[in-house]
Amino acid sequence: MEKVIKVWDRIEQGLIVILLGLASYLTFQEVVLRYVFNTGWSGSYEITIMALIWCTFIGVSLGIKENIHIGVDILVLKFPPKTQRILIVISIALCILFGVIVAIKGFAFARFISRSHLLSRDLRIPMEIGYLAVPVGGVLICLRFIERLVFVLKGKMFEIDRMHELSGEEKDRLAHKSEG
Amino acid sequence: MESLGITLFVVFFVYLLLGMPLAICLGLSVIATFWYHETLPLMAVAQKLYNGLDQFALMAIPFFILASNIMTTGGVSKRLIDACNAFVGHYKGGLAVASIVSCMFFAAISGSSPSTVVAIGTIMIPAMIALGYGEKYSVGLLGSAGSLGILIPPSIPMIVYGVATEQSVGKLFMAGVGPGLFMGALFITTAIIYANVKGFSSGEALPWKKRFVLLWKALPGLFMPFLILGGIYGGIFTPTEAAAVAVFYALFVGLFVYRDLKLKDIPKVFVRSAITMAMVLFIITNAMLFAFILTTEGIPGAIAAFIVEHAVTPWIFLLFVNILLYFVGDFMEPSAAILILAPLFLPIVLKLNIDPIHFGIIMTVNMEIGMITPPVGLNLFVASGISGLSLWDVFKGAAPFMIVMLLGLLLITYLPAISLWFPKFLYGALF
Repeated sequence: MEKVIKVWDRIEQGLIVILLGLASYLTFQEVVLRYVFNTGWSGSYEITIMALIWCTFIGVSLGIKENIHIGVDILVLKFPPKTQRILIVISIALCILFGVIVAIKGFAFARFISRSHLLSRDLRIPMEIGYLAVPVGGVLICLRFIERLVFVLKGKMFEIDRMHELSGEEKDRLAHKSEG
Repeated sequence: MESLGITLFVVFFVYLLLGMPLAICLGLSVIATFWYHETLPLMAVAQKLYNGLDQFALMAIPFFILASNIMTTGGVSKRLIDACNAFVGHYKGGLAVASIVSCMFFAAISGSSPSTVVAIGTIMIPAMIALGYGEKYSVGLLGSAGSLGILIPPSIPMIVYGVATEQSVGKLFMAGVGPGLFMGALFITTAIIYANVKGFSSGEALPWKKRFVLLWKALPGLFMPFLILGGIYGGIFTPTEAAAVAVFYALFVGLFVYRDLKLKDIPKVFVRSAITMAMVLFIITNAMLFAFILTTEGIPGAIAAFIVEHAVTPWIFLLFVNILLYFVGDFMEPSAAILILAPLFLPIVLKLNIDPIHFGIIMTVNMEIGMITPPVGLNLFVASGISGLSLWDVFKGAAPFMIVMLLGLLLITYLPAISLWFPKFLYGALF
């Protein structure tokens, strides 16, 4: 099981690097085309936005894995551990519910778009390519919270990571410092 | 109308106190309200989650996050600090002043406060403690000065405000310059007075030649804000394009000028940036969904009518807004707070003849103060993380600076010229 999750993490990481890279490149290219070659390609805006929306919904899933999504946990932390665990399980269940609703309704909406043959303005590609990011995001959110639920039910705890803007090395340096 | 608004807020606060991620609190409370009151089909939620992000102006956020992460990995903060230290480090309280100036420059590269604290704090806090500045004071100073990250452009909250209220992001950026410098000057004054009272020791002065060598080394980093703001002002590119240009500039500097950035590090930086930007954009799109209900229910109009009916003066209104924002900023993420509140206030702002750009700056300064106020002040968490001090100790260290910031907020609120002189000077009659 752990292997599957690792492959899944890798795929998500690979995808967001490609999507973010593509979006940055296209937007930069647009500036170069305009000033150096005096032309432009309106399609690049569409691809940039679609790529970044996909990147957002996939990145959210990785963010759940790394516990970086900001929340207010001061009240929950005030309770004794047993109550804390119950509250955490409830909140995870609600997050799974959110994922399920977004997935089902997002898919229904993408199908509706696809049935009405909506095309994008410049590239004339089917709009559901973009709208499918929402249900896929919903499914991923769901899976990640199930992963966390298993984690919590096994008796482990987790904490919101408010230090995520630090790179791995910086975090290591901190851990080192607090030991010494 | 009222019962719907009440359902929305009650459900939202219950979720929030359960410790759920903010974005999901916002989204799920909207879903619950739709379902309970049967106002709109739930499919509209899926549509709004997509359409909220379907705006090119918002895409500046991922690029600015990426550019700033590349710049930090590329060793720009170290060189910035060296240069600032070389010029002011040997005066009394010089190290504190150098920290503040470094934060200001770094803020002009990055659009985020916590990352400014990390970039400058990891180097300057130990240096200040070593020179006898006192632990709490040093950490508090860096935590507060780092909050300038969102006031000095580029700034993520300003992009969000611009999108929420249909104001020009470029003009908002220009309007952030004055208050940013002003707030920085207030910090510097405080630090110098404090140093003279406490009689801190100072370092050795460097020869001028050495100083200019260090300045020269920092120059590629220092040029970035001019590239971004100059390009936007000159109409060469939009803020989003400026951010993408900044990404490539940062890559160029990191790979070929400083050579601290290794090719194999790049995917890691991209993953980290993508996860951060996904968190921010996910909050944004859910907050837009939340704000959408409030607007379609006519709540902003109702509040505006109330304000006008009771003949509230701009003076009182701004005071009330500041108090409200101070408390909201304490427990809400800046982007979410702005997206929900800006559309609520905008009709009133326009009715009372307050400049919407100026109002955006007021909101940003409030969010800045929220960054160093418990319970959710992210800067406090980050500063406590890099120093090992408890959250409470960091807050005690930051408290004097918070008072200074509140004073600054008061002046920025009631003297619109602080924000508006720079865009007025640049755009003239067009503003």
